[in-house]
Amino acid sequence: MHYAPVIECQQVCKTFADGDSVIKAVDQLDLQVFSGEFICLYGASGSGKTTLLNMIGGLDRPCSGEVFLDKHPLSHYSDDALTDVRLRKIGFIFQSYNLIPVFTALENVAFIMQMQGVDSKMALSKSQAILQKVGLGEMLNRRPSELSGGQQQRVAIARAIVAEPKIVLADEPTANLDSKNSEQLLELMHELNRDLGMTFIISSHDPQVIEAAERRIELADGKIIHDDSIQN
Amino acid sequence: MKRSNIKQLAWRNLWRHKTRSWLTVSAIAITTLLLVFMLSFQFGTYETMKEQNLSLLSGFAQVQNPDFKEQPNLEHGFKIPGEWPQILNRQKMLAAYGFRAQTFAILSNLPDTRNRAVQIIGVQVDKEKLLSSLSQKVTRGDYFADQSVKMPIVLGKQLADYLELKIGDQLQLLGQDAYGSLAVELFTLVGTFDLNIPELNQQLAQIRLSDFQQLFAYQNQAQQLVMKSDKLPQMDLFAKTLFAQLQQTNYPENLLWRDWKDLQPALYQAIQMDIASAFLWYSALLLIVILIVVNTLYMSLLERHNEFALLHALGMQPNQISRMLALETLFLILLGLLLGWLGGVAISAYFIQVGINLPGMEEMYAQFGISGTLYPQLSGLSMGFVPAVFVMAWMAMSVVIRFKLSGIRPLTGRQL
Ligand SMILES: Nc1ncnc2c1ncn2[C@@H]1O[C@H](COP(=O)(O)OP(=O)(O)OP(=O)(O)O)[C@@H](O)[C@H]1O
Ligand SMILES: [Mg+2]
Repeated sequence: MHYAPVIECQQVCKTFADGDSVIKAVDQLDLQVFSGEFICLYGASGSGKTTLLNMIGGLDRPCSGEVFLDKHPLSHYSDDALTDVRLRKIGFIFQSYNLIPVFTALENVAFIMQMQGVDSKMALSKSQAILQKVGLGEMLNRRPSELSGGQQQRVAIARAIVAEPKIVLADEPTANLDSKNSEQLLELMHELNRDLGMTFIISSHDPQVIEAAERRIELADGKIIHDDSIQN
Repeated sequence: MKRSNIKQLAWRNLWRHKTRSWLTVSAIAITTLLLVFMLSFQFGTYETMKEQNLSLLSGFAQVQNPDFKEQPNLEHGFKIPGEWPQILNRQKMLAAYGFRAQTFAILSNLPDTRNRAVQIIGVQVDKEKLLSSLSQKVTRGDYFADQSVKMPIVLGKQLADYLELKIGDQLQLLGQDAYGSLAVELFTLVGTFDLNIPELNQQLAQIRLSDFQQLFAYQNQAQQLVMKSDKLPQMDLFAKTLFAQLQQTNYPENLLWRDWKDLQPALYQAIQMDIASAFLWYSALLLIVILIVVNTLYMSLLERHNEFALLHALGMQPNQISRMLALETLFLILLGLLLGWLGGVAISAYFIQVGINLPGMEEMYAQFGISGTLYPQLSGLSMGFVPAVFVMAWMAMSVVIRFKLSGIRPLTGRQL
């Protein structure tokens, strides 16, 4: 590919102290992600998937190496600026849906745009449209506790994409869902990736997810041991 | 992020634990109600105490010869300058004033079976009626009403009883005039007063100032200029300028201005002590309630750590999260304050209309010359004290919240 990657990891390392020994969760990892890709990160438990996603998403900082987002090195941002980068450029989907319990589905989704400073009316109408798209048009005013796990995760997806971020990061989004729900969800993410051109990076153990991905990256001991784009 | 969104989120969060929030709100409301009313009642009581007590004799302020305070005898008086009445009449806020002179003398009944050394006060009758409530406490006879009586005297009730005198009876006064000569005169009892204070009822006699001046060779002199304004606090407003004018016309004689605290130190100290001990209790109560609020806040901080981390991960800045939490606390406090404050003010306002009679307290109040119904007084202090304390406590809590949340890390997949 000729255009610049949206995400580039250069020699990224993350180590954790575990008593006397040191765990290399991510080890001198290089990675380029291009706009519009639909990537699945897989690998054994403890291989470093979450750690890598955290660093790409600006939730955590590498010990050495550099993550570039749109060619900007993340290490140059202050904590506050990094928070703003997360708000404006990245959508997060967590394993357990992590909605704000006191807000309705609609408010949970609109909240992100409101945080960005978008006018409330506009945020609400856009959120409503997105929720309709994910099939929750009838449940706008339900609170998370009144939704099933699959429905909650769809709200979480709606929240992640409502502000049209460059990148959506999903850490085991289907782990708490049954296979039918997982399939629907995957379908949905695919559609969004296709229609809106958003870049998805999904970490998962789920064969369904791995199967569906366009580019599969396998991690082991913090290193990439397989990457579809390089194989091809 | 817009402030209105943070407010909305804070408000919703408040009702996540309805019972807990209402309990905290109730604690704040009850304390506020109680304290607003108690403070109103307390300050109302003080005001009544001061005004009733000071109206009895001492007035709200006096001008004296500087030595009179230590040695209240005829030597330590002053000449009444001719300009003074004019100056005094000009004072718009001065409700009443009068000159007095006093000395000790022996009173005896005519058969001379009974006698007693008492304090004789010479008063300007017409002015005194406005100045002192003693004239209204005459229970037998009247207060110098009959101009035709030659040497009228008014005695304390117990004193008259002791001397076995009825209204219209004559009695003899034996004393020493300003030059040390003997002063003897026959007086006619025209009235007796009951001040509810035994010492005064037994010890006090009043005659006309003109008779006093004549009898004790005290022409044109007095020892006290006694003054009263409508409300006690007004006195301080014009005290300085008035005193300066009086001093100027009286130059070079020295004069001393004595305010009510100086005239009635026991009353002043009793009130100060009462305020101090009351505020100790109030502070304890407020502290307990503030700790309840802090506890609510602290539970939030602990329970909702992951939630705050999530908000931070989604792009909310730590200072926005702390603002949200501070707002939750503020809403809680304001709600409690509003309910309690309205209740407290309403109850106080009601009792300002109808007054309060506290059974069993009469004795204590009688000491200070107070009788009858007490009225609360809503003042800036009684209405503002509790809100001010809570707002300050909230500001302190906000700082702590900010500090506690400043180091928050964004939520990661691992924390779930
Ligand atoms: N905060 C931490 N402190 C210490 N060690 C950590 C920490 N976070 C991760 N690790 C270690 O780093 C390694 C990589 O962890 P990571 O969570 O990235 O794996 P993962 O691929 O996401 O695993 P899973 O599939 O189970 O979610 C593991 O050995 C883990 O124990
Ligand atoms: Mg993981």
